Amino acid sequence: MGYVLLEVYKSDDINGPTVGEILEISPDYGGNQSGRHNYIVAYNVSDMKMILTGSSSPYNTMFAISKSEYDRLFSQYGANCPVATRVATTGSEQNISNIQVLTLAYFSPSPDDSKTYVTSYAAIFPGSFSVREISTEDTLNVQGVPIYTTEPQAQEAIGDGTWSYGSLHPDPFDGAGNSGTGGGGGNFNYASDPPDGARDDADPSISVVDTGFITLFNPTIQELKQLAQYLWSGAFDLNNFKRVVNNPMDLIMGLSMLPVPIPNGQRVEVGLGLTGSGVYMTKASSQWVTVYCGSVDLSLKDFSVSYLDFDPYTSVEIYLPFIGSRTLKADEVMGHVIELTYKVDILSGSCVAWVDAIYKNKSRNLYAFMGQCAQSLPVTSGDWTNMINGIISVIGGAVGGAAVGGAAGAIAGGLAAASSAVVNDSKINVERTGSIGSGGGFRGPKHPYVVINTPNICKPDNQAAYEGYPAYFTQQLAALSGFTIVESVNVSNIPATEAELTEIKDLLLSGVIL
Amino acid sequence: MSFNITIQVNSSPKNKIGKTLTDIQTLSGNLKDESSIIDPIFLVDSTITELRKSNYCTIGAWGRKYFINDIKTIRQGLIELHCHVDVLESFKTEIRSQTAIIKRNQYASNTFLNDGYFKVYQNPNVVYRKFPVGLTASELVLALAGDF
Repeated sequence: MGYVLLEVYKSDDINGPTVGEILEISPDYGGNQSGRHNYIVAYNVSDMKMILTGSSSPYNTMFAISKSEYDRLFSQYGANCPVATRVATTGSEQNISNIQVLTLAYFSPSPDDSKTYVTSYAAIFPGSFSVREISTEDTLNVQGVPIYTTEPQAQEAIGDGTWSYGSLHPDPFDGAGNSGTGGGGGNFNYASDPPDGARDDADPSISVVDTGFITLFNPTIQELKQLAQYLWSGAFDLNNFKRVVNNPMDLIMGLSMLPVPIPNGQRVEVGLGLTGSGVYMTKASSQWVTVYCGSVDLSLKDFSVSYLDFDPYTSVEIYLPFIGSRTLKADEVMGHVIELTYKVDILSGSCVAWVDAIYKNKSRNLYAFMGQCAQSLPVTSGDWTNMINGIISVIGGAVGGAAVGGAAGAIAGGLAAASSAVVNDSKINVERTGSIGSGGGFRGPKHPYVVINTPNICKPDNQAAYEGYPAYFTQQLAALSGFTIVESVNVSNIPATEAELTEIKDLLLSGVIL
Repeated sequence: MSFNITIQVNSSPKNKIGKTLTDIQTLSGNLKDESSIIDPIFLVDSTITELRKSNYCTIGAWGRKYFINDIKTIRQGLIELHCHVDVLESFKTEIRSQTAIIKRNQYASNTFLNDGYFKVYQNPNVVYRKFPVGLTASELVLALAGDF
């Protein structure tokens, strides 16, 4: 037949009605009751009749049928309707107020008539229901053994006429796995790795000045003029240069201006090609330059020493020369000393600004922002073109100086809805600078600075006496004084009536004066 | 059965544990039929004029203290006191001995906890902090091919 067997359990939680249908009606074999049981699978929980074919016989079949189907069957089969027959002869009709679970089974007796076997089963229904007799307030007994089968097979039934019921709701997430306990057991070891601030970081061991292909000089203006005069003087023999390069200007890799002191080495005569120029300049001893800009103390003592000093209520921005303004996370920098170090490559002019914070007396790098701090000075027409183009591209990238965006997003759940948070989030964020590269860096501010935007607290007089301040600790009430609101307390050991205990707890949770 | 009712004046907030009570007089009273220990109605021989300032009473035999919510005249010289138990004062010793998780307190607090009670002005504080050393140099770097 292909029935899907029901797995049914008793349900104590009787919910609302579900929709059902008749799936099969067995013929009435008539004759001896034993071995001849009819079953009807149907349900309509709002209008159900439970028909018992007997109260104690192990062969009894219990089933339910909707009133409309009852009427239809009776009209169709008349006296031969198994339901009608049962009711008419041995059945006792019970009104059922709600049905959540229904299963029907076809019983057959054992050869010695000592047991009853379930030989076929009712079809499955969507939904779930349970059965309760209204007249006696008894809930039908339950056996919790699940029975699943798709074809009739013999199983030993419950001899005392009890039934097992189960939920008919298909679980759409069946197979997702069972829930269980978990989590916890952490060591709360929040130790960090060793510090790695700018001052702990060594420069590369190899510099271009060591290669022999390029020499970096730190000339004075006067020395540059002397070199230029030599190039355009009669002492400059172009024939000698043709042996080395086509264009003597190819020997000049670049001339730039930088905002950092250059480490000085030897003072040597500058030669171009195979000829000395008679001009002396100081060599740069290293390609790498580090400038320590000092520190800024963002101690909370200068602010409110409260949650308002951190994200999202307080915002922190840092202006970095030759880079621009950048945002720092208040959670990471507030309450700490911030150090700034520029690491510069004087050959390319690239610079990296290290923003470190002092945690537990150790400098730890938090941010590294890259920029360009060399102003290229043209020595040829090609240099001039490249320089202008470079400046234009930087300006083009800095067009986004307009106000950008608004809130960083709604305050995450769990945070108290402080007005300051709403204020911060509802205000637009504005870029203080665009990208300040080499083209404009020398005309921008040269000193780095930090801007902290922090709430301006509005505090009424004696606020603590009316509202208290936030706390979250366990304490005996006798150790406290003043206005107090309790988060959680157990007062059941107080010798008072239940109503008094409820009032005590309500008052403690709403606020008392100790 | 009559018992002593100490008529008092409470000058403390209702939610205070350890109230300041001033005795006015002690009367002998009875409990009106079908009264409860939580919301009792006492019958005392007195007048509204005598009790007009009272708002509190103590029933020593019951170990409880009460707010007097209403005073009604039954007849000349007979007063009904409609009361409600002051659970905080009646059980103050037991309450103080309880240990609890404290949510807010007037004196003991942790300001690093988020708090929705604070209000802020629309104009924030803008603080400017400058680093002591800037990139103020103007140095020339000439890169030439070759080794000198």
